[in-house]
Amino acid sequence: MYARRLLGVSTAAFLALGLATPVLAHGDHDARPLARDLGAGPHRISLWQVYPDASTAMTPHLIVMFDGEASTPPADDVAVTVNATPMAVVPSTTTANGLETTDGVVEGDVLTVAISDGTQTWRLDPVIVPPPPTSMLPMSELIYSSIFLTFATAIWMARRTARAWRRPAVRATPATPAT
Amino acid sequence: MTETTTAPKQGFIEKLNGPWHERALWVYLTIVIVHWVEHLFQAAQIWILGMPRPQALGALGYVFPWLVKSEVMHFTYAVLMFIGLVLLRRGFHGTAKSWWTASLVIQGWHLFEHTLLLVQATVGQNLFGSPVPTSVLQQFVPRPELHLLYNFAVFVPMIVAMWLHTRPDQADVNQCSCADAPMRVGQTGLTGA
Repeated sequence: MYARRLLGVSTAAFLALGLATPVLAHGDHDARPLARDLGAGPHRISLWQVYPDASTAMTPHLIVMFDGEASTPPADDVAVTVNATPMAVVPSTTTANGLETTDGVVEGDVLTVAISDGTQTWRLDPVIVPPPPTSMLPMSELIYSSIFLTFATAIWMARRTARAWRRPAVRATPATPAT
Repeated sequence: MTETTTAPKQGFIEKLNGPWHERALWVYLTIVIVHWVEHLFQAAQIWILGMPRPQALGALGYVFPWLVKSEVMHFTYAVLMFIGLVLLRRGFHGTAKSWWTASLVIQGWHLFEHTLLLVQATVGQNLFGSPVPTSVLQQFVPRPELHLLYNFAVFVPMIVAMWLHTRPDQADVNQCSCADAPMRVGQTGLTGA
């Protein structure tokens, strides 16, 4: 009994420690690829738009991913422009092989990326940020019907819950005469 | 003089699917609805109010933005939902059990996807070349739509199962009181057994 309890406590402590790190990990972010598998000298580049939160402001940042590489070239060697305006890039907070702009890009912006290794410079063809993806589903109708269903269920649940608590927790059985 | 029958000693699972089933179901449904409302709120922000996706954080997300952002929070709820579906399944019978099982299977896949997301967030390596943790079906459907659909697909068969399970004609089949007629105040002739 004591050993089993000790095992349970140890397992719980181990899980708590294991889960402590990713509690603050980014989640529920969507990222959409703007362009993938672009060649730039020895690098394969993907451009992503991602939504990190920065305090109360949330802007769709651009991430320059170096596919298949463990890390990125120094940020100083990667030049990103948005509508011909240079933008600063910093190591991404969500991936080790990505550099991230500190400002957002929006639909219609023209992106250019140039990567240098000190002796050569490779420039990607300009990429125009596409419009946000449209849903394949009739989302408004789905949401309105879900709201109706949920509202009806909540009323039903409230009535049945009240009823459930009025009756004994154990099932009542008719009294049987002694034989 | 009368005597009352006594039930044989039951374990926790037997009690949960017997005398406690009715109350357990409603407690479970309350938790499910609260979570589902949060998802609906976020969906309404995006598709009805037209808010930008990064700012559509649901109701609680306004006050506690980290809640929406934490993979552990999403994963924990998916686990609890799955455990509830497993623990309460034995109390269902017939068609109601089939619907409940359908809900369980869909939630099983939903949990698998959340496990993938949590593992990526934990080890810092993301699948499919994405800069953020991503799941299998997220390659085809964006995350807010996908998880709204998952919760909808789990919620609907669960409600159908509960509705079938609580129909009066199930009273003879059930081991629980879920389908019993309402008790009137002051009703006599019944004893707890």
